[in-house]
Amino acid sequence: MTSESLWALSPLLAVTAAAIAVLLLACFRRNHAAAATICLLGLSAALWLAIRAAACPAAPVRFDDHAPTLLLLDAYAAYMQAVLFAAALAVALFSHDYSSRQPSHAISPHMPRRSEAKTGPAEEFYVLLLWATLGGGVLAAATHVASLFLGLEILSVSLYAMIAYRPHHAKGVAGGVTYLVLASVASAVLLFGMALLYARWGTMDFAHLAAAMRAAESADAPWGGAAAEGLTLAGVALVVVGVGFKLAIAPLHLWAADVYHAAPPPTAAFVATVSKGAVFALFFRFFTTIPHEQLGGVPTLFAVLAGLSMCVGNLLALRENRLTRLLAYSSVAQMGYLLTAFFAGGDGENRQAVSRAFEAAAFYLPVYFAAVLGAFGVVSVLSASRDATRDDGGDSDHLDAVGGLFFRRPVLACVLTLMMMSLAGLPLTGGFVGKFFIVRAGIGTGLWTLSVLLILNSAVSLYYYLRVCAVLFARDMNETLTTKSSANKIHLSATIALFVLSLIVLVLGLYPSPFIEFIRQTVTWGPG
Amino acid sequence: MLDYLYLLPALPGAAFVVLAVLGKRLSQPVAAWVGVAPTAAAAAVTLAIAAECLAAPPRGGSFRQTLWTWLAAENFRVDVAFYLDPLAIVMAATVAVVAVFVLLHAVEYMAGDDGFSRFFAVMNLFVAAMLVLVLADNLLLLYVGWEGVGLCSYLLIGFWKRDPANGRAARKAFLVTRVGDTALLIGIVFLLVHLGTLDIHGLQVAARNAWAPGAACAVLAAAMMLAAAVAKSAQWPMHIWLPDAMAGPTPVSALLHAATMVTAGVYLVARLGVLFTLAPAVQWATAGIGSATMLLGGAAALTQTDLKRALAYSTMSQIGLMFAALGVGAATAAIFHFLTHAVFKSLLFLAAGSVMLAVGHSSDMARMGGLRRSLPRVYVAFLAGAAALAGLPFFSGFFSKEAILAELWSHGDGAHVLWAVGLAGAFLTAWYAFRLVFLVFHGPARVVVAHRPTWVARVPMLSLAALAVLAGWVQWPGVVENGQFVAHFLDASFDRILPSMSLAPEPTPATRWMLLTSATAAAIAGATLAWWTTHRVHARAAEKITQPASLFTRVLRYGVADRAWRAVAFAGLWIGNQLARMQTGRVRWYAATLAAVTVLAVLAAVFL
Amino acid sequence: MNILSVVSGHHGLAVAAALFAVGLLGVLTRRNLLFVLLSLEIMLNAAGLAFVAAGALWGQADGQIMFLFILATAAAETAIGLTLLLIVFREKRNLNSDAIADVPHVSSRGVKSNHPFEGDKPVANSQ
Repeated sequence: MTSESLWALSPLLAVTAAAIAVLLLACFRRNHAAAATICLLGLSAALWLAIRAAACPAAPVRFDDHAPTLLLLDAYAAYMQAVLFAAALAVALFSHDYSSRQPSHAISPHMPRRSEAKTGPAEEFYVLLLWATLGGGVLAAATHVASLFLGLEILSVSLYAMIAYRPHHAKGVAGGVTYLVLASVASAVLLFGMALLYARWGTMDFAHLAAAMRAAESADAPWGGAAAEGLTLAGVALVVVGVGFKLAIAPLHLWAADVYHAAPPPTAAFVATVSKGAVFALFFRFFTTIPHEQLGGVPTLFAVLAGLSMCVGNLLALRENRLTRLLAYSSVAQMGYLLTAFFAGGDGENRQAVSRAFEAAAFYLPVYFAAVLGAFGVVSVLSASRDATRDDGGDSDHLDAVGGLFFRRPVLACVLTLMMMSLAGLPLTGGFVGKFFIVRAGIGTGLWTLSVLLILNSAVSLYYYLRVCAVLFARDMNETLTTKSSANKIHLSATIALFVLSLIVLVLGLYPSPFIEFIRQTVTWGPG
Repeated sequence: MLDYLYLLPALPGAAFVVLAVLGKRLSQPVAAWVGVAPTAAAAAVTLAIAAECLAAPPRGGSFRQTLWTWLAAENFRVDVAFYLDPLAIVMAATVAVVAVFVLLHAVEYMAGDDGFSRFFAVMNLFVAAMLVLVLADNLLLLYVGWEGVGLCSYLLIGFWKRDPANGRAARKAFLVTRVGDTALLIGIVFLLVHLGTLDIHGLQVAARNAWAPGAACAVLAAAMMLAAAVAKSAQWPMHIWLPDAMAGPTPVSALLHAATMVTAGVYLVARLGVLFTLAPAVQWATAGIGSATMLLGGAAALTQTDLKRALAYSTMSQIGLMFAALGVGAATAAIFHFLTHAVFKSLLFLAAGSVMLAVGHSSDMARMGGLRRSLPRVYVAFLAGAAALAGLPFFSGFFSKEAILAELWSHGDGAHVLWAVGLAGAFLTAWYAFRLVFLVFHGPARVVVAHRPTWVARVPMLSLAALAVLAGWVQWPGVVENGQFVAHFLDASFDRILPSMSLAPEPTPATRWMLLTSATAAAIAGATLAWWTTHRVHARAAEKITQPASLFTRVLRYGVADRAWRAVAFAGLWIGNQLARMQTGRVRWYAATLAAVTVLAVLAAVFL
Repeated sequence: MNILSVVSGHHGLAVAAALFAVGLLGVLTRRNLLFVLLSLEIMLNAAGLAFVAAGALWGQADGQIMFLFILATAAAETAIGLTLLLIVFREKRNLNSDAIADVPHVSSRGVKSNHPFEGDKPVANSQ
């Protein structure tokens, strides 16, 4: 354990330490503010450490060198971790604001009231959040099936609890059970696919797998012929299905709307961003490491799924009236766009194409995160406390409930409008620049179908994003609905988060060059 | 003075910000000042810059002002930069000056409306976006302006939210122009990937070097640009949004849907002239679409009973004429016609707005009639505009229309057909223009006039009327030094990279006279027919005469294009609803789909 | 005699696949949440068995180490799953997975008024 590996591991260590600290604190003395502070400090420290690791790239640290390498802590991992931790930080800020407004009986009617607990116990939420982030961070650096599985499971199991966090809230528990069953099936499928690959090639390390696939003829392989090829193809197909489920691409998207609607808005934000981003980071690493010749039609199949996601997500969102579900469907489509960036890398052999594709993806990911987090943040801030006791979660995310928001809370309405515009890809926001880069990478590699689909779908999607904005500015909406949820006090935490996210969206839209430079210079893509 | 170029979009932009943030707290007079003054200042700056460029043209014929670097990647960079050459000057000056007049008129038109500040805020945003569009140095910045004007159009058409029909019209406009935006973006990225730069002039030089005329790449890129222009300029088959866009307030129709936004397509084609000359097939398509729209629009305008709709179809038709000119490579003539059209069309809309205010906010011509006695100054203004539109001799429209017809005649074989179509279009134009004059201002008075325009509305209208009469004279030999002023001025813009874009070699004097007299004859014939059908002939017979034209109207309104759009929109929603039925909320169903996908994926991977 | 030379890895993989299919079928067909959890467990263990078999094929211990990982995480997952089951049972008094899907939020037919061009019907006079 050298000092370099300690520095490289430090972001993950910071998150772990924060999680343990909050857990211990909750054991001895319940204090929401203290727990939130520790969580935020831990995430900030992790973020700073990750940015430092990304910006001052040392040689990639293989953790660990003397045993099978489980984690490869290179600049790519550091960058992805930085983005994930920043998103988790925003979620933590929103959950502080959200939890502060939940009455304690919403969490559990059986909890004895404590004098200082005006709100329900939320400390465990921060622990879960930190653990889920840890899982995401591990996924970003994973280079071995074991670390992949560990990271994935840490992330998923924490999410099961986070989604069902309000046990008195029937809808939340239903969402949690749904997600648990489906994600477990998907994890099992993914795992089985990895097992098949292991059976065929005899190694669980990605780099060794790639080497073995390139060598193609192993002298002592216990397989031969068609069975061997079939194993590889089936294994990769299963991996694609498992990853596709977590990314919520069509036709595996069915869970997204229900889960986003059922979960507390900060959790939904987390699922939409960190969970998907971590899995995307892993998948990007995996599929650019292994050569594609052996994979037959699987990349094409995956590309078809990506195109399908774009269309399905947008068509579903066109007729949706609930903001959280609309955001879920739009995330399905956005994942399709992000995957287009991946496919623009071609078959992984052309280094320039791959790095251009990676730049596009690495730029689009923070932009997408910021916009989705901002949108869910507004929903979270608007969630009225009385909704917590209702079985269906109340109306606060129905579009009618945010009607005329501009006239009651203009700042919130403007933030939501900005986020919608960024998701739609309107110029002056980061979303436009991101999509432009993706399309450029795509058409540059001759990926015509997906690129044109992306542009077309962006055009279509603008319709429902603008519809949300139009509702926000509508004057004569049903006044009775709107006044009910208007008396929420927004905590400083959420305000800061919304402000920073809006700033990011604007800066990345108007003046993205420094950030693009940073990505290009420091996070050079090198399969590891 | 040139260094203040950035003020042109910045001033209206600042007005937008102020009005958006403080709008509700400002009283109407203050809001009116904030709404109009910055644009007026921008117009003044534009004219000053234009004067300076005329007196002392900048080095190399153009001026570039870079604000900051927007995107930079390893082998391309896109700056936020403005480019000024004669074409840009003409466009910017037209936009700014017309905008000032329209905004001033709007102060009276929108007085008392509780969305007053919001209106001026979005209008200023529009002006800023339009100026960005015409001054943009590279295609990406142009695209930003393009999207901006589309967004403002959506916001302004649906401005009066109480009537859901306005929202539907806004959505329709939005959806149709969105198709064009998509094509534009595809074209832009395609050009970037193949030519490595988005800088408009560098792009054209690179295209000329890289592609031979008729090359597939050039045709594809030009076709995408044409699609974008067709959608934005409401040409057939993407015309269906323009008549419905009249649901917006009349100043919106005057500025956006007559003078500026719909002409953005014309500007795009003119700007990318080199690209189009590399794709002759697309040029023919441009000319064909333009001519067809001109005839269809003109015929449809003949049958309208709604004043604004008639003017909308007229706009469609006139822009068709501009497209026809562009299609034969006569960009100078097209831009000249754009200039005069912007002046007289916005004038017509402003006058229509005053008329509508007078008869109680209605644009149905059945309520109008005999207004020349009660609204004399409006009558004069409208008459000037209609005369210019019809191309009566010595009005501004005459010069520009005649220039186009001359170009259509002289540009090669087959173009004679286009010329004939253009002449027919001129005839129709004069007919419907004067039909409007006679229906609205002559005949028995039907309604007591409720509101007479004050100076706030009269000044813009009369100024525009003066321009409509006089603007064409700069083209008359002898008025300005070496005559043919606009032509030569604009030629400088096009000559730099493509000599053949300038006016064709002078035709023989005999041909010249033939063209002049035929254009004049067409105009006068049309006006006379209008007089005859509205005054001398019973209304029923008049309707019978215009019956064939209503066939065209039906084609335009409910024909193939319209049905296709509706079908697409309906299909999208239907598919979405079907997909939503899969969201049952039942875990086992979701798990079943997951399992099915797994099995299918494995089978597909292994066996395909 | 080494058992690994009697039961080859290939057979192990086949058994694992069969078990996986059984587990998947269980998830799809059982309505009781407890049995769904059971089937999930079977699926995860089937994947683990596949790893063991694969390790046996190659003569490596990695497969069995992976199985330990899988076992541990499956246990954690099951713990959460059982907790959720308890909560569901407390509220609903039964463990029917179809019953927890009360879906007041599912909008059935979309919203008709969203049709972009709706209402744009030909009216007699306005051409």
